[in-house]
Amino acid sequence: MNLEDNVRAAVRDLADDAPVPHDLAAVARVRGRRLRRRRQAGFGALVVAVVAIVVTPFALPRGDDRIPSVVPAPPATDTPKTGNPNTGNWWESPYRLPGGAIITALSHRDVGLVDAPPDKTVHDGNVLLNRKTGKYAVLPASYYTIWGAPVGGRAVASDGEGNIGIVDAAGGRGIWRDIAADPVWSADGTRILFATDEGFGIMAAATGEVRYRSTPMDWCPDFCTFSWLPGDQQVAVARRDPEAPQSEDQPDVVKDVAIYAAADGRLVRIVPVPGVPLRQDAWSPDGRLVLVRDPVLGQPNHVVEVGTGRGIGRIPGENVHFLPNGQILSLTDREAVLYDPTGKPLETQTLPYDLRARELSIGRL
Amino acid sequence: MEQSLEAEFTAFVTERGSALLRIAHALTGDRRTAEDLVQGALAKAYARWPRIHADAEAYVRRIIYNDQVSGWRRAARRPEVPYADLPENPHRDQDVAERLALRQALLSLPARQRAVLVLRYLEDCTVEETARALGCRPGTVASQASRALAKLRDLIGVADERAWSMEGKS
Repeated sequence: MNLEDNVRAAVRDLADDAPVPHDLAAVARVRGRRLRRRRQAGFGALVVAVVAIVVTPFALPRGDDRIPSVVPAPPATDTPKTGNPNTGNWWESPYRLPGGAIITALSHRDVGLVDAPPDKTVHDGNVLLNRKTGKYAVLPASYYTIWGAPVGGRAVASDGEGNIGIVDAAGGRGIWRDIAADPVWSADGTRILFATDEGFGIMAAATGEVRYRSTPMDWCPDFCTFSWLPGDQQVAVARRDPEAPQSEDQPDVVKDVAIYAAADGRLVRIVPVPGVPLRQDAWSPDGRLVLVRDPVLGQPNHVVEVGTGRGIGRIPGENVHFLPNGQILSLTDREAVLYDPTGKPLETQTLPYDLRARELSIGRL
Repeated sequence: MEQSLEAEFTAFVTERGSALLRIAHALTGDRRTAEDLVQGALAKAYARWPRIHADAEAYVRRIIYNDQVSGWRRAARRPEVPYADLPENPHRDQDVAERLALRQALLSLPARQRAVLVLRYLEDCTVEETARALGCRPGTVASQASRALAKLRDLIGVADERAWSMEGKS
């Protein structure tokens, strides 16, 4: 046998000596849940503290002038429009999506590339829009995941070792903090919201300063998924139904959504939304609608009236956002589809091949 | 996680666990390290299962290779040395002796070179597929494979010389 045949035989010999699988799934579940920072505990005495909170009909504080005004959307047509406003190489200018959004960042889905060569390209690497040049720049391949800010040119990067950092397209080390949680950008691109063991934290993108707020985390349905409300002054998190039976095999039933003041963590109100608001861009600009994922039914996402909890539409897709004009954008590997809040498709755009198998962050110019 | 996704995850691990452990053991040469490598990759897959379940095997395999190559998960323990498998008289079966020597030599290679060989010779991946799995260029795969084989040739040559000299002394 030649060397290659011998190497092949030796490699297969090594593989043949592999251990017999034993409890792989069980151990992976435990470690996986730890990774997802699962929080599940008894409901207990905290019930008393919120019984007095009246369920209010609207998510937004009336008279809050920090809420951005809604840009009117064009009227819906019967036939979905198909088009693409982009020309040339997608990475050489901000890539435009239906509804006036742009792509701010592309991220690997293949978590684990911590030692990949640094010469990744715009075609396959972690990519961030450089607002100064108008072109997309490749970030170090050692970053696990990139979450692009909706405006401002920054991104959150995770390093796979329990840290997240604020980075920009110019490169460099950036500001890093020991935070192991999925971040959520504020709409103005200045702050990052994330779940902690005791509540939520907010990091200032410019300085890296982190402020922590305590909230009752035992109420979370399987996971504590926080989202910003319009105006970036309040945050929301779903609460599970204490009356519903819990099981490791079943997702928790969501009863409603609690809204807290971002500044001090004070419980502001509870709204009767029976689902988990999506992380990024979950709320309509006027705060009357919210995109939720039913943990029991899963997809599609539901558009729910905040005041009544009534579903008014369904939007397919994993990466779904309310846009500033009140329309909803759903991104898949192959296309971007614009919907009205009732789930009616308005416009479809085929995405470049390079965008497949990467997570898209969106924002605005 | 939805019950159907939980069941899907369990079925995936049941069906593919052995194959994943084979890859991990070929990479590490150590049973406990191999188990840890696979469990870590499966844990990451579980944490993201709703997003990656459609292409779970490729996802898990990629994590296994990259976690091993990256070294941050690399165990401090040395690879197992299969002395128990050595034939009483290696000269009776030169092929077996050479294969065992080769096995030791394989485990002494840098992690990335070993990963290239496992992808090429255990999984029969093309150069392009290997490059995709390791997140590098095809040219890098070719050069790593070439260096690995050259190193093995050197190591085996040394081993052969040692065996020869041992034979001469006995």
